[in-house]
Amino acid sequence: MKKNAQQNTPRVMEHPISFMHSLFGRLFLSSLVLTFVPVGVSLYVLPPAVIKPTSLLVLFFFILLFALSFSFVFSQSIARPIAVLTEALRRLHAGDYNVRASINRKDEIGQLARFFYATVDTLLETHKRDAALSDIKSQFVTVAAHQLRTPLSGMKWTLRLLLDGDMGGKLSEKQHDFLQQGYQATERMIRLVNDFLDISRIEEGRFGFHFKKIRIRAVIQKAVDDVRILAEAQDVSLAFQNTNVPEDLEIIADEERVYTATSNMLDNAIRYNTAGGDVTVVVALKDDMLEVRVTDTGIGIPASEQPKIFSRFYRASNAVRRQTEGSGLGLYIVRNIIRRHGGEVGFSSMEGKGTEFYFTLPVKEDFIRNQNLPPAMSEAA
Amino acid sequence: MERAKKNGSLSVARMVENQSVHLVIIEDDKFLRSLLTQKLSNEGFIMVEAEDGNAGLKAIQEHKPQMVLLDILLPNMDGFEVLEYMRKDKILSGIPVIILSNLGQKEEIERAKALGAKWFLIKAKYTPDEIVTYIKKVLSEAYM
Repeated sequence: MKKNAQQNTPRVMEHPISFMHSLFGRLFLSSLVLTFVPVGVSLYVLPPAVIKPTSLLVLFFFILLFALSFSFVFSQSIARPIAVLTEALRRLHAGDYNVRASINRKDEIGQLARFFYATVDTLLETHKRDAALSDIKSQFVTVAAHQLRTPLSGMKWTLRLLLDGDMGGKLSEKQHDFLQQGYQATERMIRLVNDFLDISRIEEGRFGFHFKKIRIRAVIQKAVDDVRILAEAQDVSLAFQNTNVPEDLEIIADEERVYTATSNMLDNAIRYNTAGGDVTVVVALKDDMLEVRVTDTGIGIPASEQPKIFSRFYRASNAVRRQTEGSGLGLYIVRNIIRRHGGEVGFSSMEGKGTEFYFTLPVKEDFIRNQNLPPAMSEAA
Repeated sequence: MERAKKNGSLSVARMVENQSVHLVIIEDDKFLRSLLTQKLSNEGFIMVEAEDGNAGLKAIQEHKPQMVLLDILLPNMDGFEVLEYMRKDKILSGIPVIILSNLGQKEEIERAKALGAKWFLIKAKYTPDEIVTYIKKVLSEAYM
């Protein structure tokens, strides 16, 4: 993480400073001028008899030496604290807030330093507060998840056991029907809770993302494997094809989020499919992009509703008609995740025929740079 | 769901070493524990219930079950501690564990897996039937 963060730091160009541009160089020039001018003036003003060439030469060197040493001492007294401040700024830029140096001067430079360190203090405070907030939020999410899910699990399991006949006794058709509707309501609630948790973690923004090198093929494969049970339950066959992605291909991404994005897409493809339908997942490497394509033979998305499907809480009318539970957050989450990775999401769909969704992820290492992640912040995640 | 039923749940359970399969379930929520015990007893498993980590470990040592279903947030001794204890024990380390928890952040899942748990199932996401499918899968991988 640290290494990645360092790599993603926008580099500040450090131009080598030439002698003539350095402080000492400029003072050197001015001391030359300051030496020549008085000597020149004295040559002009004093009667020639007074001026002996040797004494003039001695005087010249004496003034030059004095001017040079003065300019050296003077330039150092300005350049050294500036170098200290520059180094402190460089460290601050790299995310090190523990920059402290002793510049105890009463002049303008001392004032500059005091302002600089006061600013660092403010920054440090903000940084600490942000980290603490992020911590509280993540703790809240954990507790909320647990507290909401526990009673929901109890309801879900009770209804399921009754429906599956595990509690003994035969249900009338009407009883079965009502229990089934109760079960679906519970499922809707659970999915809502899951989606809210996903969203709250995604909307934490850059704090919530853990970018690191991951073996992407295995992550996609795992997402596919984990929905096999769902596919079987819905009587949908699930196929995974790899075109040309090496097993050891590594990209910089957030593993959990890419998994969530893939799962959400697969979930849609399976849930909005028809019994006996197919879902095909194809991963391919195209130029600098990894592409994951999920094709289904499901109910499709009506053309008039296609522009809206990535909106929060939007569900296509034919999906709602099927009464399948859903929060309308799945694709919103997918798009958020993929965009944060610098990738793209798209689809083509025909109502009644099926839908093909794809997302891409950049394979090149430098993509996160576009996101301008300050290193210290990405580490606080 | 239907398919899982047709496969016959008793057969797998009985096939394991040709004897009754003991499962220890460690879960502090009485309601959830009784629901799962009901389901798994129906499936032919012999259930031993425990309501916290300490009682759970005791039950594991006493009954030497073929598998453990373990919650994470437990009074006295949490699920991670139970896993750690089991991993250090020569005999207990061979018993497969499925985590059944309503936590489920990446860090928790990774920690449980690192401590040897076979699966981390978020309770609210799975039906009792699906949980049975996972149990059988792990049992057949471990013993057949």
